Amino acid sequence: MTNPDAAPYPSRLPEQPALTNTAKYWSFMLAGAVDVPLMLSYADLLALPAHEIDCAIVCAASPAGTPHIAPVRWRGVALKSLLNETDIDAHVRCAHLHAADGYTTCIDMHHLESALLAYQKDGAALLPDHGGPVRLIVPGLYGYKLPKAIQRIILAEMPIAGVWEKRGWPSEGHAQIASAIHHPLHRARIRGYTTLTGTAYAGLRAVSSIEVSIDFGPWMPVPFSQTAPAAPAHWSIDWTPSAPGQYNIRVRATDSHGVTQPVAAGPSDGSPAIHSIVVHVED
Amino acid sequence: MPLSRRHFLQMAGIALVGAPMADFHLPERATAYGRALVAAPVHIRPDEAAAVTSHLWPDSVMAVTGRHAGWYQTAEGYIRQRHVQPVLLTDRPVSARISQPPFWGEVIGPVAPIYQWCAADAPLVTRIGHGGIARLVDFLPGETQWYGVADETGHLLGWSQATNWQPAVSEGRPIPVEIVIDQQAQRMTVKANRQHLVNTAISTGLSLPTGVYPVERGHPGGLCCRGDDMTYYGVPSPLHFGSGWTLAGIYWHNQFGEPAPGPAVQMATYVARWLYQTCGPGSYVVVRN
Repeated sequence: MTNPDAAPYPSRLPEQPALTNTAKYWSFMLAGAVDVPLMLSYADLLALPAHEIDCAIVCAASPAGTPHIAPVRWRGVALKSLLNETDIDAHVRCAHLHAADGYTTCIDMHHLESALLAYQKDGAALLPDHGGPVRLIVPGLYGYKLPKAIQRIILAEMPIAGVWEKRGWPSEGHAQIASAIHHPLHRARIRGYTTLTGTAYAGLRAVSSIEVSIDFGPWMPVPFSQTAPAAPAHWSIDWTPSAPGQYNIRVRATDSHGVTQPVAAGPSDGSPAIHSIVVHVED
Repeated sequence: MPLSRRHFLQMAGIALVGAPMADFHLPERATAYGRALVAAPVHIRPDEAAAVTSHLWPDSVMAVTGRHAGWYQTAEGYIRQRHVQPVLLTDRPVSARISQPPFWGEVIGPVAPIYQWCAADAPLVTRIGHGGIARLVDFLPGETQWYGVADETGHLLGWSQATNWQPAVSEGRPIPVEIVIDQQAQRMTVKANRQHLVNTAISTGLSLPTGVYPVERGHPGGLCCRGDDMTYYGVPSPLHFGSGWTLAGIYWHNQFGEPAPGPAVQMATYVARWLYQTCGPGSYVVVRN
């Protein structure tokens, strides 16, 4: 997620404490409407009981089908355990999230129950490009709700409009149903029989069906597997074209609430258009 | 496996009623196939409650080896007849040669998507199913070759890959025939010289008044049928009778035996093609209830 405020404005205000995105100087504060604020260093965080979750991160602004919806194993500290360490005002409804570069966003308080302060991604220390040293992970939310290099969580009664919310993005940020074709690639040349593969993701909901259409024909249900909600579903099916030529291949998915990807929609409203590729079948 | 003509007609649900005439031009050696109209579930038995082993790709073509009261038997299992367009593949050679438009082209692939311009990711205009016939009015050479397809007025409708098309051929010698439409039974009987030729299931698109009407051939195809939610182009082999009514081949359903939206009298595309080629001057339609 690029912070659009980063260029015209300084990344931190003079009166704020220094915010860095290196593990050595990283610090974290849980504050706001609490009895006693919590402060942690990177070493403090690593000393706490670790927890792992499988969760994909999907950007609300990605074009349909890109980037690939890849499963990621995150390791970190369950935020719920930190919340249990302090008394929280009964009127608290939301959490204001602040990152090292000045990025801000806001999520509903109940999302913190399943949130993770992640410091490892697929077994390796989290790099700055991926949100290191510590990134907030909440299954089922779009990437713009999961600040990289998170440093402060302020609990409050009223929400704030974050960087992207000010620009009209949904305040809820729930990941919507999306799907992608991974193989073959767009404009690939294939000969005869091939295997179509891809993924689908429905945020906190399970994927209930995935369908493929050739040349705008009727939708064909394809087999898939999904280890858990919030993890991507993987689909695969063999296909033999009837003749040489160009073929249009589309994929769409439906979630467990019965919501099917719309054929066309704007990406910023959280309902990406379906992914479509063209392949050239040779003699 | 190639079948005899009589066996094919049994598969396709057409009764060959009388002794075949010299001018009866269904091919001697033909194979019964089916084109899946939807992602058709394959059952282990001809029973809706029976287990589904797989789904057929829409527009895939499979050999039909048997017929059981509304079901087709295939090597994979049993498929509902209504999910499959009956397709007649003959020994007629398919030419890889490009023909120069304009000419009447027949869809020989399972389906011919028509795009706004010459690319498979261009907006789709329509899809003409196997057996559809349209006027091809332009040609674009290249690695992928494209024909410009005309609508019913002769104007360019869109572009379709040339591999899906070949010139529509006219076989047989037209003779005067009597075409009896039984609306109650939803069947059509064709007679010539007091001999029954074929008896087959049809669908009527509207309630026709009983009577006897002269029939005449239109163009080989290019008919356009507009429904509530879909427009079908390239409807083949139209025969016109009465007050603007039409008998024609249908590539989008296989519910013959019961009424269906569309032309006044609907039948399988190969039956319509045979009737179109057989129906000569002096032919007439008898509508019964």
